Amino acid sequence: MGPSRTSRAPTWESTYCEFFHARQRGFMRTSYAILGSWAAAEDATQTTFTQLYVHWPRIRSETRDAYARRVLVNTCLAAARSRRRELVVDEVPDRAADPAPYDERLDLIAALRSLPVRDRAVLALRFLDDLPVAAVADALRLPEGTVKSQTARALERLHALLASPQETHHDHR
Amino acid sequence: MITDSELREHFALATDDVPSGPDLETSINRGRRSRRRRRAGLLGGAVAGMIAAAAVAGIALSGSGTGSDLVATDPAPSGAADFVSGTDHDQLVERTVARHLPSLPRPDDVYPSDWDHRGPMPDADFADATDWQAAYTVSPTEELLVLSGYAPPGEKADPGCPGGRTTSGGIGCHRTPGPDGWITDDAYTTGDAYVFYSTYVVRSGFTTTVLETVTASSWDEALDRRAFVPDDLHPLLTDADLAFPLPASRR
Repeated sequence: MGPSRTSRAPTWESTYCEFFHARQRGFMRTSYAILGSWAAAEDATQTTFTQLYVHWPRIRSETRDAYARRVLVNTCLAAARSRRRELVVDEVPDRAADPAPYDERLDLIAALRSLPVRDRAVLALRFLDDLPVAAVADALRLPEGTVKSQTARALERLHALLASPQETHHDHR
Repeated sequence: MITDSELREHFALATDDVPSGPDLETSINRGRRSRRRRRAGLLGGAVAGMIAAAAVAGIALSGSGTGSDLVATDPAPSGAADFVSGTDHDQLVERTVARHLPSLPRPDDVYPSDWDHRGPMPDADFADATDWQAAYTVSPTEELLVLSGYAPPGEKADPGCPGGRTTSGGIGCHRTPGPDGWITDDAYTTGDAYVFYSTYVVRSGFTTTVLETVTASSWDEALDRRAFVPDDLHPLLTDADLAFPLPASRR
């Protein structure tokens, strides 16, 4: 934290900084699960926190997490749309130096990449962030029934992909 | 077929080793720039026209001294933040506003601007500033901006209130004589926000404006949420401490 930033800090900024430190790692993990690339996850998380700063004084403390999650998911969905033509880059794992010949981490991420981006978002929110259906529905602005059915379909696809990992390199965004 | 519990473990394992992350400083700096641009956007419409319309005489408030030099030699005001290094004018603005509106929190930002920027100009160019702006977050639903400076040369002077006009919601446009010019109180809406403003245009062309931007769903709600009334703002508008000489480069 540089001296110039400290001197310019509005009174509410300390709560923003606390939120940043508390949530940045979780946001990175969620973004990675949705986007399949740590670099893209970092961009999306950075953008999310910038958006949050802009609106921070108007965000009620009791709704901050839900608001932030909506911004994060929207940012990831927009990033996924803009990256549709970067498939070659997408298929190069960030962890090229990882020595493991079979890595469950990459296996799951590769399988997720083969799902539509909204399925990835539903699965990340349900099974990584462990959110209830209502919270996922709020984040994605979908009816709860749609979240349930989308989760069921996404799980079915994911199970099929994990059962046949050789088919996990076709992006269907 | 893996169970939900196993899937949660898979997700946790697959995303556990976060290699890096966003930068707090970058988020804040980008966020501040966006907030400044949004505030600048609110200067459109009536207020921008009014500020731009004031004629430039090249001299600060007449009858009120020469105002403060941009590079003052006074010690920094106690408790005021040094938003722009190299000048005390930012601190003087903060102190002056605090004297008249003591219920305000500390400013979010105080920055120089000029005729080429609707929002801030680079801090390092403060000596060429034609106006100074101080931004405050009054409440979760209200932002307040204090502007003081000179309008571009050749622009029409204070337009006043159009004859008999009353803005939406019955918010009247009112004119009040000041020590050396006229004060105008009016309001307009941007759709999702209601902007109340009071402007003091000195005969020399120096203009001081306070804008209260209130988020509300109606004029009545905006009026109810508004923190100040025009009478609270008039002493600040006419305070000579906000004045400063027009930069030589702009004369």
